[in-house]
Parts: sequence; structure tokens; C-alpha cells
Amino acid sequence: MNIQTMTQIKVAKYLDTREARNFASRIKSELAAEEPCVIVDLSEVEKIDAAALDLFLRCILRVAKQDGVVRLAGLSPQAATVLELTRMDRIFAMFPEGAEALPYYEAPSVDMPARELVQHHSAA
Amino acid sequence: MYIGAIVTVAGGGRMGEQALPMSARTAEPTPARNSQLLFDTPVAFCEVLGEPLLNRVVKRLRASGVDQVSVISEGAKDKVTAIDQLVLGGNFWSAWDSVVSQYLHHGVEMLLLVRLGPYVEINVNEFVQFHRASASPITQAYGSGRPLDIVLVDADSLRGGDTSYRNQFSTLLPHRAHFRSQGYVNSLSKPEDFRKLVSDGLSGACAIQPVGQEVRPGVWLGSNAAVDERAHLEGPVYVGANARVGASCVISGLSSIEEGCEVDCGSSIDDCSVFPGTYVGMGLHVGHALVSGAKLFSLVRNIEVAFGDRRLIASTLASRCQVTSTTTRFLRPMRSLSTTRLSSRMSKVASLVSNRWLG
Repeated sequence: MNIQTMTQIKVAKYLDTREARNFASRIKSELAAEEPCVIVDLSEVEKIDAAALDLFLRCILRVAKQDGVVRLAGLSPQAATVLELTRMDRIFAMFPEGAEALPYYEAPSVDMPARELVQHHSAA
Repeated sequence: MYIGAIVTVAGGGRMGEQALPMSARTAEPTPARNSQLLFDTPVAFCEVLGEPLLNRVVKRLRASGVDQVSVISEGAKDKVTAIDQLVLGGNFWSAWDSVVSQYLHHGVEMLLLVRLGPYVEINVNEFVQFHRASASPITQAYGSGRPLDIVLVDADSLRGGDTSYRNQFSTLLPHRAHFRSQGYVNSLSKPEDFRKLVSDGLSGACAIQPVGQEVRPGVWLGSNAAVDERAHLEGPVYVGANARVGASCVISGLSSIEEGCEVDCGSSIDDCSVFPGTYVGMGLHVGHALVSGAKLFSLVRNIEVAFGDRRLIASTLASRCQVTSTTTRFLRPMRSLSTTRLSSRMSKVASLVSNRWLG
């Protein structure tokens, strides 16, 4: 996978439906690339609502269908708590900081491969 | 022996924050203490296994032979039962002086002063016997090598002075005798202390008993608690009165679900205290936390997270309001549309939304 295609997207303080839509439109441009790689920076997130999580998840599935990867980085304690609460922490590999995500990305994949993720979600 | 007790409810700051040191209140050189607010409520008013902590303390005092119990709150108001007098707000020390004056007027022989605060299980009879055997007019209880906020004073030593009772009390303090208590002590200075108190109550490490019936070993249910037959309760756990646990839920790790809570289908609760009237949404995993209304305190990360989405965590009242308003919103168009047409429109809307944002 080509590291140069990697994009980092920073999510705002309150991840509500509106912010999730912004995120979706930014993801759209990434979908043009083959095997897109998106690192989502959640370091500033303080609140997440369920509708946003749903939309967020669907965006990520869309990237996965393109054989891309989405990884979460720079998780704020609030975001980590909400992801654990909603069990989404089981789906994604999460890294503490955006920059620290790089070596993980270069290393062999530790999270669920894209195709498996899609199959897993479709089966569920 | 005619004993009157004054229970002071601490509530000057959040758990973990430093409150005024004792020295500022009583001229007594003791270290600064933590004050006890949990989710903006004094911990004394928080329910522990079906009953507020304050009620439990008052009942214990009465069972130990204390004749009168008055409660003075340092700040917040709340419903308290089983006491003779509740003084709320205002000037703490003038309220304290007033209660002491009433006790002395009614012929009380000993004053028992308790601050809640820390939760302490003390043998009052032993404490009184020790105090009577000592030559001191005042005795303070000690536990785990530190002073506890429990003091016994001879009423006679406060009678006939020229200054306020507070000043007389401060004058007596340096002459106090020390009583070593062997009972259970929980400082309740941090949220994890509260969680430990609940766990200790369920595991029998302290005298706190769950309010309800033990339906099988370690599984306690309050009155009218409704647990779906497909839910799994791994004891010891507690489900309070009028609480509801949905299908496929798993409750484990010495968790308590207090009165009027609702845990929706498929959620798991592990090592948690869920405060009264809390709704936990579907399919969630709540672990190592305190949950109250729309707030969750993570004991792992030591942070409080507030939820604006009623489908995740909310008060049961809020989640019911949402269900009602949603039903009303959908019922109006349903008067003119058949169910099939409505669901067809909803599918189209869903399809448009997904196409617009995802495709």
C-alpha cells in the first residue's frame, strides 16, 4: 500500500450529524484514489451522538469497499469512552496520536482487513 | 443514656476536589479533607443498593440506641426520610448551634456528631462505653490510623458557657480521647471509593444490605424489578425496584442497577453502578463506570462524559419523552397514510440520504 496516498482528517469537538456529513464529503474525495488510506484524528472530540456514529461507520465501510483502510488516531478520552461504549473499538485499530499511527500503518496490518470488515458488517 | 445525633451532609465540592480544611471550621489542626459530590449530588444522598446512604446511616444510629437524629446539609437539598429534623442551606454554624441548643433544651446527655462524608460503620455502644470510661468530655473515633469524622461530646460540657456552642466545642477538641474503631471505613473521597462501597455491600464486606430479595445466590432484585428471561445476571449483582433489564443483557462484576433504571436489549453492564432513573441504550457495553442520567464517569480514564443523545445514555424520563414525541410525530401522518405507504416513503428517504452522502 502506498503511504503517500494517506490522508489525515481531523474531526471537530462535537461529532454530531452535521460534522459527520462534513466528514462524509471529505471522504468522498478520498474515494477517487485506489486503496485509500484515511487516518481520522479524534483528539478534539468531546461529544459524539448515535446518528453521527452511524454515518461515520457507513463512511468507513465505503472506504473499506474500495479496499482502503480507515484508522482512528489521537483518540480523546471522551471519544475512546464512547467508542468502547458502542463497541466500535472492536472494529478499528486505534492509535494514541496521529504521528504515532504512521509506524503502525507501515507495519503489517493489525486491524481487520477491509474485505473482512465489509463481510463482517454485512453478516451482522 | 439519652443520645442526640447530628449528621452533617458534606457537599462543598466534587469528589476528589479539596474542600475547606477542618481547621477553617473548628480551629482544629487536621489536614484538608475531600468533600463529597458525585454527579453534583452529595454522596450521602446517593442510593447504594436500593437506599440512600444517609438513610442507612440514620437507621444504623437509631438501631444502636441513638434517640434523636438531626441532619444538617452543608449545601444541597434532597429528600431524606427517617430523621427528626433536616436543616438545609443557610449558615451552617448557626444551624448547628440551633440544633445543639434544642438538644440541650430537651435534656440530651450526649451528642454524637457524624460527618457524611466518609462512610464509617462504628459500634456506637462500644464508643459510648469507651467515652464514659474516659475522663475526657469529648472522644473522637479513629479508624485505619486516621481520625474519622465522628465525635461524642458530653452535653454538660456545652451547658452554661458564654460563647456559641461552636466555640465551646472548639475549646474542648484539644482534650479529646481517642477511640480506635475496628469497623468498616470508606473515605468516599473519589468516585472509585463509591464503586468500592457498592461492591463491598454486594460481596458482604460491609454491613450494607441490598434492599430487595435474593432470588438466587448473589442476585438481588428490588420490588417490581423486571428482568427478561433471556437476560443473564452473573451474581453478585443488584437490580433495584421498578428497574427493567431487557433481553440478552448481561449484568456482571458486582454491578448495581438502581431504582427505575432501564437497560435496553443486548447491553452489557460490568463493574458499574447505574444510578436511579438512568436509561442505558441498546447494544452498549458499559464497563468500570458510574452512570447517572446522561453522564458516565469512566473509572479507567477518570473522566466524566456527558451524552446529548438519548439513545445512548440518558435519564429514563428523557428517553420516555423522546419515545412519546417520536410516536406522536409518526402517528399524525399515519392517519392519512397506510403503513405500507409510510414505510415505502421512509425507505425512499433512507435511500436518498445514503445516495446523497455515500454514493
